[in-house]
Amino acid sequence: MARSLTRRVVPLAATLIAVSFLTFLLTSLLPGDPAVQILGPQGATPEAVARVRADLHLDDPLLVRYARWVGDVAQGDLGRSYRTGQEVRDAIGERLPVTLEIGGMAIVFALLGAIPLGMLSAYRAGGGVDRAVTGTSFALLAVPSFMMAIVLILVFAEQLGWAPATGWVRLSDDVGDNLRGAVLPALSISIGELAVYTRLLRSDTIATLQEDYISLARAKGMPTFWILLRHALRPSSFSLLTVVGLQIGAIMSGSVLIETLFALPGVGRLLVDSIYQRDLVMVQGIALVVAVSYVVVNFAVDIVYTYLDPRIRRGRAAARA
Amino acid sequence: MRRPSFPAVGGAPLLVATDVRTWFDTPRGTLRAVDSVSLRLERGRTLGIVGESGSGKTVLARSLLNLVFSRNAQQDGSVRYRGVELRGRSVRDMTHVWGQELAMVFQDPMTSLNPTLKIGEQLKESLWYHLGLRRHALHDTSVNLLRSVGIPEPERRMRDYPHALSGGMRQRVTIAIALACGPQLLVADEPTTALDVTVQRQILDLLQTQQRERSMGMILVTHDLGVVAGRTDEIAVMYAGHIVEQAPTRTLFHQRRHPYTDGLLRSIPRLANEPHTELAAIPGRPPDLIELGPGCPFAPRCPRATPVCLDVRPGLEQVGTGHAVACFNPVESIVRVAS
Amino acid sequence: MAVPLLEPEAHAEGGALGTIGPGAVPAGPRSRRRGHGPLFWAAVVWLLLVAFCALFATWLPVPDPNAPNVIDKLSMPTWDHPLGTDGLGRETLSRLVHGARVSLVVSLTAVSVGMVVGGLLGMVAGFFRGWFEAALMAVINVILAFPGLVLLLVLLAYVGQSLGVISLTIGFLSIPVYTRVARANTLAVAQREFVMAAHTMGASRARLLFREIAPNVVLPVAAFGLVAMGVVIVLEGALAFLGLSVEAPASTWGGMIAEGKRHLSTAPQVALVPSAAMFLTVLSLNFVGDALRRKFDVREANL
Repeated sequence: MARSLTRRVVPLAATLIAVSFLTFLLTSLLPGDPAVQILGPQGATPEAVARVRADLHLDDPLLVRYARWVGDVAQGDLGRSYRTGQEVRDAIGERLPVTLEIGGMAIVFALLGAIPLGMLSAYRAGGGVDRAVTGTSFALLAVPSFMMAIVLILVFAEQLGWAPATGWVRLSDDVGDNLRGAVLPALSISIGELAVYTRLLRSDTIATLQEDYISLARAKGMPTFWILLRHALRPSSFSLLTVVGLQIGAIMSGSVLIETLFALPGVGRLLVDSIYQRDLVMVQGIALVVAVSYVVVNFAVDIVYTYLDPRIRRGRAAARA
Repeated sequence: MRRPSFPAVGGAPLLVATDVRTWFDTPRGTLRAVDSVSLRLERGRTLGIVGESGSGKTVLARSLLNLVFSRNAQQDGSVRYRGVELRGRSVRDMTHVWGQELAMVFQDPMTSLNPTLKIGEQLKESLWYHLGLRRHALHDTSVNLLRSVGIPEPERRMRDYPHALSGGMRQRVTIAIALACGPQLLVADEPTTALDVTVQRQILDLLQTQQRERSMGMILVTHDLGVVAGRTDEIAVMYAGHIVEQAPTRTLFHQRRHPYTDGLLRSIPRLANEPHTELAAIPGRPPDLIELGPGCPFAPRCPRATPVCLDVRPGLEQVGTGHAVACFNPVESIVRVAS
Repeated sequence: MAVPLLEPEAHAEGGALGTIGPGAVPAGPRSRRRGHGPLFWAAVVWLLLVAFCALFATWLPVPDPNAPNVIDKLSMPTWDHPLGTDGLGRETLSRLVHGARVSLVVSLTAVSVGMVVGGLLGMVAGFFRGWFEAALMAVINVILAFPGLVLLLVLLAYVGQSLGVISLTIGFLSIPVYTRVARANTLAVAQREFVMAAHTMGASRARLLFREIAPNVVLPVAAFGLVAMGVVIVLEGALAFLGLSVEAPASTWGGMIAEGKRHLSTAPQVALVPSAAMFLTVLSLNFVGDALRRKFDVREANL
């Protein structure tokens, strides 16, 4: 058990290190002096700049700065924002829930729609329902999230006034307003996701329904919905799971657009703003969080795989033996 | 639960199939998997359906149980179970018949069990759904079922996944699942083909025992004459979608009339033969079920074919008690073959 | 941003017994031999139209896309301005036509870079295996884990917002995908009998790679590339939204949509017209790419 754990953890750690180092490297390429940014055009006298640079150790060689940063991170310190002085940890902590809430809702909506639609069109493949669903999914694949957002804003915010086009209310302040503000952004993302998930699920389900154990379940007299949900869903979810995993990983970095469109205080916008304002410490922190989430999600997906197909569990055990 | 109500079990035949036809539309033409098959099975009796691969026997097995769902299938004929017509019933209605009245055991136990569900779960679900058993009763009944099909340590097995069991064990499980709700008719499609020879006999014995204990009707579908030899009351020989001969078992083995049956029986190698005796195989290959001619499907390979055989299809004709043959030039029943 | 994934086409014909339900697609004589329907040709026509506009934009009889005309701003389609005007009075149709150039250039460049580099790397990795493959896959993993946005933003800040930078960066970021696709296909094809046959006949490894394997890997990768073009066009649109695409006043479809958002309540057509153009283009690319992929799949099945 220990051996397999280390075997998994080492490449993960390596990836994290590679990513964070690359980020360090890249951000150091950015033109413009962070010290100047912090002090502003008036305060950027040569002495002040030199002082700030010394404070922030900006003149140290790259590797030294990186090593220092890693050391800090190991103690849970992600540094202080060059721009606001706020702890990076706190800044991210404030905004992460927003991004996660929108992204999470999007995925949940998409799955709630994709599972019945995908399975139903697979069950009656070639029929009316299937053709409608497949055609619509195909068309939806061509609609990017920002386009969907515009259409949704046009219809629901401008014309019908059901939900706001911008602005965010924290969950802790008012659940109703929070949800109303989250619906449109989440929908913009989820409709596109829905199309992808439905196609994947349909594809895999059609293949699964050819299996003998499905015929046996039929011959047992089990009702259709039971066969679909209990027998067919699990084996058909592999591709879907992989993609959902990728999407979750992409929530962090991909949320920029939606957050910009809807003026949401999320992690994505923070990232872009930070790069513009040369708030390198913040960029490092966010990049790390993104990489960590990617890695964690991959790990979780692997675990869910073994839950979906017990044979994989056994395969691993056999490999270990 | 809208169950079609069945008349009390009396002396009426369990299953009467009349003129069953299952054809498939394919890009190349119409595939006649089952063509005008009529059968009859009494309660407590075993019918063997023998045919080589491609003879349509699996499609026949499924057609009898109304388990053919392909959109390209044209289905015709009547299948009456305990007097009630099954053809044309909705899937909804049939879910109350499958499992409780009709059961099927499939060929490959590796693929007929869901790899992602535990044995116990797969066994319990029909008991739960059809018989309404819960908790202790559900668990105990399931364990007893596993025990009755000869699975050691049934409690433990309930928690296993199918891949943890050997092929023979898995087949026992599928038999347990089939029998769980006490069906009256069991169709076993090549139940032993995918198993080791040593295990085959055990499984067949198991099926026979269960059938006797429960007084079920059983249909054994197989390509192996050895399987049906001592275990069936009656045999129907199938070729290219047609029944070519039908007789009580002893009669078939001792007094077969159809040239195909004759060929099959002759092709069984005998220990008493001299070493290096040539295998008496039937020349030629099974026909393409799409391009069947108007005449007897076996005619191209038949040593006794006459010109009329190629043009006209022979129908089943009685040639003895319970013995019917579809042939214009049947074999004379003098040769006794030790079975 | 949703990436349209190419999952294997679900051939729902089933065995003779079909699926458990009323299910399988009718496998009548028509479906195998079906030529390309009217939708396919409509998509092709649209794509050709877009390409035409992109190529000949400067010679087409449309007004200057960057000429503001404050009097006529935000107008609905009229005879003078068939698709209306935007917030600064610039003509939408003209901007659309010029914008096609940007979209096409970016998508073609990015996809070509990705396909050529990624395809070659993937083929080599899949064919030669060994340490090269292991190392390559590790690098790929890092690229995938890396927030691409950061790379993009940094490069843009460093080099400036030019079409070239955007195209090449997107191309670079898409290499991992093509590498995976090419490698998977190479692995599959290398097992095929005709390759082994050539090998036993003494073909050199290079010859095997280029004469036997490459042609069979190129096709699925290319079909994928067509769909990927649509993804890149969308990506450019997204970047324009963030103000990261080619600088104004140059017209790009994404930029037009972004501008249009401001006038959504008063003149929605400013955003909707370029949206429609982008949607149709991506849809057509998906359609054609999908149809071609299915064609090659059938050939695969017959092998």
